[in-house]
Amino acid sequence: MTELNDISLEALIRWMKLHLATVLGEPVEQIATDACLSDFDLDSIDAVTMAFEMEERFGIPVNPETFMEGDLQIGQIAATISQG
Amino acid sequence: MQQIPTSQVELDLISQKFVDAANARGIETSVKIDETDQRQWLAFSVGETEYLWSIGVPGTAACDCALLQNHPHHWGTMGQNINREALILTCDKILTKQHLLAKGFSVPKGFMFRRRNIAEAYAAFDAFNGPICVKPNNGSLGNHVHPGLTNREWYQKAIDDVAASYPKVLVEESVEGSHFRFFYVHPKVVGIRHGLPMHVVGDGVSSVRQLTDARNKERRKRAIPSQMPFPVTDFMLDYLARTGWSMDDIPAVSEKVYLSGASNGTAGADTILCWDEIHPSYRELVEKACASFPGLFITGADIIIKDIAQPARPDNYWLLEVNMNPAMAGFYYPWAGEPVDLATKVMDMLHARSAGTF
Repeated sequence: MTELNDISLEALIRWMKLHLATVLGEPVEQIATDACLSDFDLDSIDAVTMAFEMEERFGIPVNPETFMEGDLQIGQIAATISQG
Repeated sequence: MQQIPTSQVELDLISQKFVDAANARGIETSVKIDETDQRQWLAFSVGETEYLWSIGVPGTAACDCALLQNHPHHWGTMGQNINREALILTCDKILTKQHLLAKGFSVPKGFMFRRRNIAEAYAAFDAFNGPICVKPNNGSLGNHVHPGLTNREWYQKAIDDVAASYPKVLVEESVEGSHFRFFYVHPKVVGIRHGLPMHVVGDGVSSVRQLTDARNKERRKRAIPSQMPFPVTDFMLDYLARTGWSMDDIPAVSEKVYLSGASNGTAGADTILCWDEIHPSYRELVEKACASFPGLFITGADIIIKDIAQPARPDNYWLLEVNMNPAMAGFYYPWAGEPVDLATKVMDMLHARSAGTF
């Protein structure tokens, strides 16, 4: 598990885009950093899964509600998380 | 959280059962109020752990049926749920299906589609050889469940109905048999509910409308908390039409006409509690299935059984889903059958857990 202070904003963004591409079954190239999460029509289970897997991957405690803030862009969410 | 004596709060009927079960063991209860949302929780401790039970609508059987362990968690109440570890596997029906299949249990063949790819969901009609069931991938209470779809028009209409409310649509084979909910309190099944979808029985002279009115009159008279009169909805009129009936048709003597395919009490189904009538192999099967979900302590496992007298075989049952916050009202207030005191069973489990039995 990576320590929180080792995580770069870029790594978080890359992980979020890959995760979204995987769960949506769509090419990662179609997931833009400035896309809002609401663009992907996620549900609460998607949010929980994303929070759980982010915790597993990076050891960062994340409330699933973070990913239900539909009007925030991927980059903005990653920045919020990386700042703790 | 603000704490007040239980006696100062009017409880819902299920929370009162928890108070009774706690008192029978000499456990004190109180009510805690979350200042952020004013939500009320029944609090009690077993061993070193404090538990919170969600209080519902006073004087009714309506509640969320969530049991939490009262410790801080950054996921909020979701992270405090006693079944938290099993959350993802149980809330996502397609994951539940994949998990059960991998563990060797029978499940209906099915697929999940996102509504952003709705054309793929429409096209899946051709992947089935028989009736299809369309429902939300994480729905509850039998809402938006469309079983027995046999033509493309109804199938697409069902997908549109689910997609209007949910981002993910589950499409699966519609299996035939009777629908049961096995209530599991780790490590045993403690109650079995047969959900008989809302229906009327013909007398040869009355229309479906008149028979439905009579049924609702009977429900009003018996006033069972979980079996209140149920309004005829557009959803039911569609279901009737799909099965070749209208409200003005007159069924023959003893002919059964279903107004819904949903087996939930909240969807108008009759709740009939049973036990010995069901071959015991199904209890063993459900216990193994529930135990296969890490961290699942309390759940309602839904299963369709072809012939309850025959032992469980891979071709005569299908597990549908397991519920993280299973409703309890039907087990206390059934249409027929012997009630089950679930709160007592839960208290027994919490004591065993506290004693380190599991």
